[in-house]
Amino acid sequence: MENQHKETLSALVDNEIDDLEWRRLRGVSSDEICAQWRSYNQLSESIRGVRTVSVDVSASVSAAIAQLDNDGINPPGEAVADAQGFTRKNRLTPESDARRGLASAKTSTVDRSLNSDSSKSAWVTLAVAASFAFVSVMLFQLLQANPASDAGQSFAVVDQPSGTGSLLSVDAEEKLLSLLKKMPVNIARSDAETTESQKAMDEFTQRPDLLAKSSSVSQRDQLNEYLLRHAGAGFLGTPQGVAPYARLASFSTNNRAVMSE
Amino acid sequence: MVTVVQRWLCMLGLLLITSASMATELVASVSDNSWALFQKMVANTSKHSFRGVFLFSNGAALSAMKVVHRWQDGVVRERLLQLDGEMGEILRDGSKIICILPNANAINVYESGFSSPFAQLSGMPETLAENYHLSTAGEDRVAGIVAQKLYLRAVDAYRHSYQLWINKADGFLLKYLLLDDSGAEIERFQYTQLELGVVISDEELNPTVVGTTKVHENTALERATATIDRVMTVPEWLVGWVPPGFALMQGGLPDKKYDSQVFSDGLASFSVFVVPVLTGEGMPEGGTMMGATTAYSRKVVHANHQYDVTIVGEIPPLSAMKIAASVTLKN
Repeated sequence: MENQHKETLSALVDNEIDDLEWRRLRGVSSDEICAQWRSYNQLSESIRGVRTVSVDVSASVSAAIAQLDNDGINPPGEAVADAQGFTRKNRLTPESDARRGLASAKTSTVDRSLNSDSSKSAWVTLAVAASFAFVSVMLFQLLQANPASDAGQSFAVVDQPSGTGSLLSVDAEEKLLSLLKKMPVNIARSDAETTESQKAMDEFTQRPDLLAKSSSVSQRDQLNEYLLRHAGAGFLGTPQGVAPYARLASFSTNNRAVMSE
Repeated sequence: MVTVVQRWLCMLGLLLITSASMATELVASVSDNSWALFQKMVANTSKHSFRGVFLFSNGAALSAMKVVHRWQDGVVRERLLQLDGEMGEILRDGSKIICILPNANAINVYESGFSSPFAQLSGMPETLAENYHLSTAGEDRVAGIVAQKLYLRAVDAYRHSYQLWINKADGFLLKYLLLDDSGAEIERFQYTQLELGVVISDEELNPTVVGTTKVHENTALERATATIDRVMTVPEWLVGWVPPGFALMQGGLPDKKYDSQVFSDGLASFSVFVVPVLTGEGMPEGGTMMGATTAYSRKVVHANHQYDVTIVGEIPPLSAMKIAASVTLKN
């Protein structure tokens, strides 16, 4: 895959793609996108490693405090610069770079020392440690509020300042999904869930097609009535307005088309 | 003597608590607003009068339909007209549904018994939050109306995910996408024209299709089970497994001749039919997917009688098969 296309795919992940780039990307073969996609998966794994470190607030803070008595302190601005550098660089680099970036972000916080004779330095250190704690808690809260991001949605993770993960915007996600819908990639499930789901789908498709097998008038009418009754119930059980009836009308049309074949 | 480090620990602790509190409030605030909009949509789904045109895509098929919907004195009247292909209509008057099939060769009249939409969904948001992750995704325009985009991502493989475009002003659902487990779009509903808050006359709700038609006042199920009283006593059936968050909805017309149960998690629903096979073969065994809707049927035998267990709903095949396999006799 050409660098230009990689950058375009990367921009897509950040939802910073324009129509021209989008059209250009559509011309790329799915194999190439698959290959690039795998690198994003690797990146995702490394990002998940970030979360493991970051959400362990007590351990991280304790470690930071323990270091404070022994090590030197760096200017707070450096930590910010590190985090920002990590943020941008991580987008296109695979696992190793991401881990390195993370290590850098963590170390920039941990490798501090306290000059106990200087109250000014103490306040600076306090601010750094508090920022670390705040970022950790924020990240923890975001992950709690967004469990799907922990469920293996590799492409959906983009890095943000201070090393926090966030979800890809829905616009970008829609575009990416439409591009990659033919790829055998599961975006949100554990291996066990994927296996169960795939196994069920295989079994389902191996069974006779209910619509095609409903050859008699009575069978067609009965299936139609199931749909009709379900649509009536859907009015009660879902908030999608007229959609249950639209499904019914669509089914009636399709049903007639199947039967006339 | 209190060391510097101990003082630090105390201060850090306080900061940590404050940060956690602020973060919690921030996240909760965003989440609350999204859920509030979602609840507004649920509460007002049928409580609008409007006319519009929408696109409906269910799998490979795409069709345009016109809808006229009136909410008056707590009663819904609605007319749905297919705009492309053969013309068919669906009329709704309270709990009565009239299906006029294309070419007007038949009319099916059906009494659903469900006349109070969403009355039972009031307790659903809590359950929904356990089974869907809700997030906002900016604003968009649909049919010329500014919409807030919500994304409800299923937390497991037993249900589909949803993207909703909701009018922030009144909670009207302008567009939605249904996504399967791989993230592929399996159903799309989208208004292209919409007039909200209009006065709908009775004439607009009358059927367009008129002429000589065959009216089925007795439905296929009623015909199939017409002799049941003389043949057997219908046993009661138990649905032993449903996906997490799905609850049995009460309502509908009770029928002693066959078992029909409806379950919903507040967004998706499925129906379970257990019908005795009295004549012919009954339903064939197998499954089919029509966009987001899965239909799956299997046979069970009890006391020398055969029954069709059929699941129909907006759920993945995985769920439909597990539900069907769990249907057993009560006691």
